[in-house]
Amino acid sequence: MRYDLQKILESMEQMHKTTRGNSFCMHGGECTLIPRGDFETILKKMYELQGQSAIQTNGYTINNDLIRLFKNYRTNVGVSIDGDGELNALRGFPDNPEKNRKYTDKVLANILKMKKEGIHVGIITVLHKVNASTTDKLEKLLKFILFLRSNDIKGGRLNLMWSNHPEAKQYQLTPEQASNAWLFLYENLKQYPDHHWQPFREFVDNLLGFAQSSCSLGKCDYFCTYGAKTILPDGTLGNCDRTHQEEHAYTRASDKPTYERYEILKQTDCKGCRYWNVCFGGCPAEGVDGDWRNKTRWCEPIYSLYEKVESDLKAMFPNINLVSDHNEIDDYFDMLRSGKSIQPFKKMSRDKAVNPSSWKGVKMKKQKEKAKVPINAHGDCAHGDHTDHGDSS
Amino acid sequence: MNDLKPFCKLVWNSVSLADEWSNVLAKAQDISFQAEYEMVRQGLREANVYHMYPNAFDKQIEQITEDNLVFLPILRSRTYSGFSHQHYPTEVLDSNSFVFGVVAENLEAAKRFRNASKSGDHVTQGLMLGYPECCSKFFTESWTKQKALDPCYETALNTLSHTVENDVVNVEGHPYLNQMLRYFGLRITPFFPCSFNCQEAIQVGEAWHLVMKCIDEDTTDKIMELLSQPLSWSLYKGIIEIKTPLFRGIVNGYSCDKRKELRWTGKMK
Repeated sequence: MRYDLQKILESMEQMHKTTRGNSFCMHGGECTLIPRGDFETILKKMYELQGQSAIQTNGYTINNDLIRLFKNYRTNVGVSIDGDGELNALRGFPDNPEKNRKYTDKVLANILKMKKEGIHVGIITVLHKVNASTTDKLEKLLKFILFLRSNDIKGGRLNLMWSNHPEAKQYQLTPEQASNAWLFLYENLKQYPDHHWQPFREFVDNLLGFAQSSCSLGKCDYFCTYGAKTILPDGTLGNCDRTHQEEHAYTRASDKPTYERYEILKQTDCKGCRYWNVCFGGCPAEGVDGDWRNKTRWCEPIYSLYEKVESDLKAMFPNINLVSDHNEIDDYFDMLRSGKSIQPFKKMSRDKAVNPSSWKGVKMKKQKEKAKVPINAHGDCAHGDHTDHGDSS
Repeated sequence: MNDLKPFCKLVWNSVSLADEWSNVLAKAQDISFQAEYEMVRQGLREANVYHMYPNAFDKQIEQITEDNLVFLPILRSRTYSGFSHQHYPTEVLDSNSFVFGVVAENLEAAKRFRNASKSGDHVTQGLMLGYPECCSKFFTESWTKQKALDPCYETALNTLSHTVENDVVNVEGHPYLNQMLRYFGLRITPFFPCSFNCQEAIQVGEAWHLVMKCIDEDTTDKIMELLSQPLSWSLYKGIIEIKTPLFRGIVNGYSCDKRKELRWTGKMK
């Protein structure tokens, strides 16, 4: 692939100046395949700008030389692997099971090696028909996740695979399968307080109203994406690579996002949904029928997971105050941006309640003035297609 | 569903296309506006709808007077950014508003147009603006009666040679009559034709094309090139999306009960 390294570096500097709070991550294809000198130059630039660097890789090409670079430039290494053995059949050599098994073994060995060397390693596992469509497969996947845990890799992302391309779409889970997959993994991981697999932890934070944890649930403007911006090979700034599915790597519409999609979804697909303020119709790239004007095709799994998380939180703390309890809030995203938020534990706080309790009737203290807490609800919103900050340490 | 406020967004299919073509788009709107005025000044039609702005009215009046034309106000509207299918009447006249009115060759014509506008007589307005009667009647039917505020889809359905495949209307037509890119300033004729092959409308388009060429020949050639290219246009959930080989754009549409989609094959010249 042709690229203009100098322009890419200039763009990184420019982007760092204008959008502090965003972090850089080198993506592919497979980014470790570019000439090593250029690879190091980009890692070095990330390190100079933000004190660390990040890549998303298939993990196959990792060797001692790369590990040396990762140490030098404090690289968070996100590895894409969908499980071990046959669960990972769509990666590497999909047409050759034997080669694929060797490929997966090598990736796994590289993950463990990096971990042993003290590299920050995060995992992205994409859920699809090959690794998550049945209980048998999910049990194997859980076993894989627990194997990682036993090697001190305690988190990553469990993203739902999606595509509008017929050939790839055959591997996409049905909404029901996707719900089952997330709920199965959520149920089986919640016993581990130290796990940080997403979206499970994020969904808890979203319901507690802390911030919109992932851009896919945060009113992303499809034509001016903010959670992920790409620096294209010629150095220009583009939109999130999820938008590249549509033939072109489109230019950005403007510097500032607008929210027409959310005005219409609130009146149509998502009208009256109790999780509107923690979902906003989901990622536009995943829109039903490949149309960004629709809500995400993953409404069912998102709704089911929120419902389950909400039920668990309420079961443990009946007095908890969640975003989903507030139908009167027109737009929690805007509320966060204006520096306001709900107070999830107010009935359990001695500062707020006369007789704090997690469950029984509580008399609240009179408030003199509502605190305004600035919340970064925009710039530091994580992007779900790479491990933004290295997840496993 | 409430209609969205006016907006207009455009993303280029690549940076090199943006470099090559964005200048054409920047000029196109001005050429269209100038052509609208020129068509009246040159006596090629009776009237022209005209926007008078509080911060430029002195120069605008001077030009109209020098050209021996007359202006009559019709309504005050709030300004908007992007593309609007209708005006937003207001009482206030300030920097956030403008006067929508008519420029005509004489006072009698201006009054006649204003009366037609106020009484909702689109056929008379259309005829005075130089549009074919068949197209003015079609517009009245689709815009007023069917509430199709942007009747590109309806025009496609009314074009004899159209085909329908999976609810998508495939249509070819004359680039003079392509109204699917006007949100970005790209058009030759400023009216909805009754059909994308309407011969009368194509004839009217000849005059507009010539006037535009006199204003800026190179840019007009480029506009014609863009209008001749294939594109897809869809109206869904109150948002219109247009995809072309060069760019993709979205603009506010209007509420309708089903998805409306057409593919312009863009051959005929």
